[in-house]
Amino acid sequence: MKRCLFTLVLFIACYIPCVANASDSAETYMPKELAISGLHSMSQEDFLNALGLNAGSSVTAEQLRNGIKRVFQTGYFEDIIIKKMDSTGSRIEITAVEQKIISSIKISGNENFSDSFYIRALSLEKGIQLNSKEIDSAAPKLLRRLHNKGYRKAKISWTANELKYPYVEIAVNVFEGEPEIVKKLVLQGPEEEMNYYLNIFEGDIFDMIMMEQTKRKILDDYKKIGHIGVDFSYAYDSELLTAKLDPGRELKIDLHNNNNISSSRIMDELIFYERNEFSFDLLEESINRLTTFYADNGYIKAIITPVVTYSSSKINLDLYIFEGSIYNFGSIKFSGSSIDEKRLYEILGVKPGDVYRRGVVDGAAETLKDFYRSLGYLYADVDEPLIIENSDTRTADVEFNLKEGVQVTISKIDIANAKAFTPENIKTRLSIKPGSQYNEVDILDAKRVISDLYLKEGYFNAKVDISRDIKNGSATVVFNINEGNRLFFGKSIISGNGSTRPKVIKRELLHSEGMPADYSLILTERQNLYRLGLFSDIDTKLIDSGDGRKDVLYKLKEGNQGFVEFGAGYGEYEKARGFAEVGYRNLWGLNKQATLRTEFSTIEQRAIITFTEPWFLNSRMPLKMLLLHENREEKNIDTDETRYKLRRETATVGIEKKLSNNITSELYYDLSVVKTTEVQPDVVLSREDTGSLLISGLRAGIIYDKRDNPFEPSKGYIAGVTAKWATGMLFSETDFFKFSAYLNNFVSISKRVVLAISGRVGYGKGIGETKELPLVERFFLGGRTTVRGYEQDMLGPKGSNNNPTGGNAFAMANIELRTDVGKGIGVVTFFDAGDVWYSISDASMSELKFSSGLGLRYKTPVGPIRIDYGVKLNKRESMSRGELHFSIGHAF
Amino acid sequence: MIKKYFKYTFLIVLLMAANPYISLSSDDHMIIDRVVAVVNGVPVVRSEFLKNYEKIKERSPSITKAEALQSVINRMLVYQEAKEMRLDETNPDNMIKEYFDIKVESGIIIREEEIQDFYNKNSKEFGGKEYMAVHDEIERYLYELNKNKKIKELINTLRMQSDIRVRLED
Repeated sequence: MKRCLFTLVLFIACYIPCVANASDSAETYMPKELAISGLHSMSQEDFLNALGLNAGSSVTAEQLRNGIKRVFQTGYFEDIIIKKMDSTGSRIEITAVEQKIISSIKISGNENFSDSFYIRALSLEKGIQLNSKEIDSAAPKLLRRLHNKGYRKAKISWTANELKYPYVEIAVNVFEGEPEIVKKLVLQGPEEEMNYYLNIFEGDIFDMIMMEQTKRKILDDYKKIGHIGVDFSYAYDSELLTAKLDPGRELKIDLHNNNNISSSRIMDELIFYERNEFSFDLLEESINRLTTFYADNGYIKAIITPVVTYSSSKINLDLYIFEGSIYNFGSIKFSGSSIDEKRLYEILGVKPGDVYRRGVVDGAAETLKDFYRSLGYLYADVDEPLIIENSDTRTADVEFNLKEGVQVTISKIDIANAKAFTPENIKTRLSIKPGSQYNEVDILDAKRVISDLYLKEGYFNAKVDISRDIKNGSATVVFNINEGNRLFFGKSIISGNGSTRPKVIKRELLHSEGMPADYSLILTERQNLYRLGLFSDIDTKLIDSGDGRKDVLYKLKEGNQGFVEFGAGYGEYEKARGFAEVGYRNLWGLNKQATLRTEFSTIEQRAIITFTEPWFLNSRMPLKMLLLHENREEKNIDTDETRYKLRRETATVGIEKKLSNNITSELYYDLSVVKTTEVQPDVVLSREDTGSLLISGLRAGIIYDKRDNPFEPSKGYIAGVTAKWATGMLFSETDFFKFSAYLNNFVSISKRVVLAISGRVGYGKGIGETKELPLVERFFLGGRTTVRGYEQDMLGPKGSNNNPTGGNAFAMANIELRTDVGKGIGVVTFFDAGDVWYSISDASMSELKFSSGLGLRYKTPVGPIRIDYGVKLNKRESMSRGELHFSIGHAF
Repeated sequence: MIKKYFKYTFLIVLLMAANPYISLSSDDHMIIDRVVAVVNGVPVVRSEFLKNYEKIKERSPSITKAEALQSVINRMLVYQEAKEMRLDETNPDNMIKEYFDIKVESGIIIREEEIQDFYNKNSKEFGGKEYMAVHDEIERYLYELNKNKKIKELINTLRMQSDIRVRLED
């Protein structure tokens, strides 16, 4: 019909197929030479990869079209022009036209508001892409704001001035104009209060935003002093501002005889101030709320009697409360139930002896019915409970009458329309089997397992529908699968990696082109990329590549790659201490890291240079190097005498390798030149203990970490073993073997309490002419991370002057009960045991030293600040009773 | 009545053609591909557009490239909006149809008074036919009229909210 012509035109407009057919895909180019211009935000390598264009490889017109769309997903481009420079297309020129980037912002014409006010209001930021639409939509909002501030003639215009491609300068031209001035001010209402609140005078600018703030403050303040019916209004017209305040009336509420419930809690149930009015309807509603509140707290006989008296400026509301006695649950019975009562108590959240809360009982029958049905009692029914309130015993006996009916079991599980997996393969992954009790939760869980299985194999649109056929207590459950198309990964498009080389990102990717599109891989890749510490924001997106594949777009935002850190503190052994560190995480754009750190305290000065290559030999195996210079003075805390002084230069190089998600291994070569001076004679055990000593050796370790959180573990365990071998074959002047091991276990006792147990042992032995471990390699115990009832290093063998010599073997155990008391504060009770011996043959459990104590923790981002006081449990007469320790981080 | 239809058709074509455009450069024959428009960051690629244009021309020989591009942009806007609604449909045509069903058609109600009023004002056009004889025809007509008006409003709103950059030259 003729009248349909109009419709047709519009529908042509809307229904033209947007995707062309692939008839031109046969047009193929074989470029030998590629020339790119105008590219700024992406590397040439990433750009060509996303475009699907390589010199020497053939490409179809359709592939190029998809490539342009793919590149556009980065959001950097306005146009990409691909031209053939000869008739065959052996030379191709690509012109990238990127979106403009704001490099500078100029605000002019503003007299009353700062540049930053306009920059913020227009969402302008240097370094971001120019979004004209966003500025255009922000401008009217800014104008409204200026109008509300009294500048009603204000106008704003802006231009983007081209600078060196692709940068622009945003020039904002502001005309603020003359503001609206209050020439006459009329105040209606209590004069003193009006003058107090209204910060506007004749001759001032009429600022509507300030007036609204004043209104909110007036309403809030009057509410706080118990006024209702408060109103504040204002009108501005032809330079006349009229403001009117009605302070309403004071509503004074007095509570009487509320002995068990606090007045503030009761006031929460009264809604007069919230509604800014008082009426008998509101009074009735408030009394009902309060009565219900009492009943829900066990005071089922509570009676509230209101008395209202009026005066000209005040309403007095006296609430006389008869709370009555508190009622508890007496017995709670479930007749007709075959399920353990304790489990039903858990479901309801109450048990006999608890405070009788009517609110819980009211919805209990439905809760029980839902619970039974989830267990397969599909025909279960629960009557409303019989409640007997006994005023003599002040208890409420509750009895639920249940009809469980038959419990349905699953007789058969069918998987329909599965093609990618055999039904048997799918069934083996499900927790429900024929014979299992019918349980909706388990069935939905099985559906999730099947969906996940398909998702992992790239079936993005797979749908799983469940049908259930239940007859005579048995159920057939059918999972009907609509697999949809299988999708595969296409290209990876990386953008935003300004200074980071593409290979640093690509080596973190777990997928490759052509693999089934498993989105969980992308999530893991995202975590890996964040872990590099180079990016402050990572956005990943799967996009249709146009050839049935899913390209992955990584939009990265680089964060600060250099850092400076410093800190100061106090330790009971070091006294004042501090550190300063400067580092860079992305040397040469390759994520290589270097740091320079200095640590200083009253007893030591250290300078440490580190270098880390995160991918050594093109595998995820960090190579670490360290240079250390250290001056250290070991002191006897009691006497403040120097035990020995140490100067050490160390060079370490080694690799770390993650063997699995939980296991990390390491192998290092250590070279140290150690000079010990002013050694107290009684500390010397061997000739290596004084003077200069070159120690050269290999150190190997392995760590198995199953903790849930490395900084604040609440469950799991960590175990580690380290062995060191110093030998003359590596030019060491001392030969020894040293071994240590530990196991730390964490058990969550409740939501806020963690039991932490640690066991540590160490053993060392001189080889050949070396009889003892050298002084700097010997084991010492005592102090903030070991046996806390003792001073630093003061356990074990002592010399004639009572200086600790250290030993060749140690054993130690710690138990901590860590309680989180909220607001980041924790309380710890601990028990430590341990000792050091000259040699393992001297080791005797009867000689172990014990201490116990109490500690406080305060959580910080770098670990808890810790104060511990440990008491010696087997102290000798000359010893102090205990020791106080300050530190950061847990003891283990 | 026919005059009216042509008036609307003309208006719509005008609406589509009113957007600024620029012309193809002289070395057009050397271009393998480029972008002719960007709709909320999504490009309309020249090769694809030209193919569509040929198809459109078969149905509407007088349509210009600029007009055809505007219609492609309209469709992209509606499709993008339909995708935002996360409709069950995955086929773009069905998705757009479902979107129009929800956003446009579900809200159209033709009241009896409107039909009567239309009949009274245009009775001559119906050649003396009785009201009841043309009732359904008028109702359908008013329905279509309303639908088109709503679609036009919807597209205008989407265009206002969107970032559309046209680079086509003709």
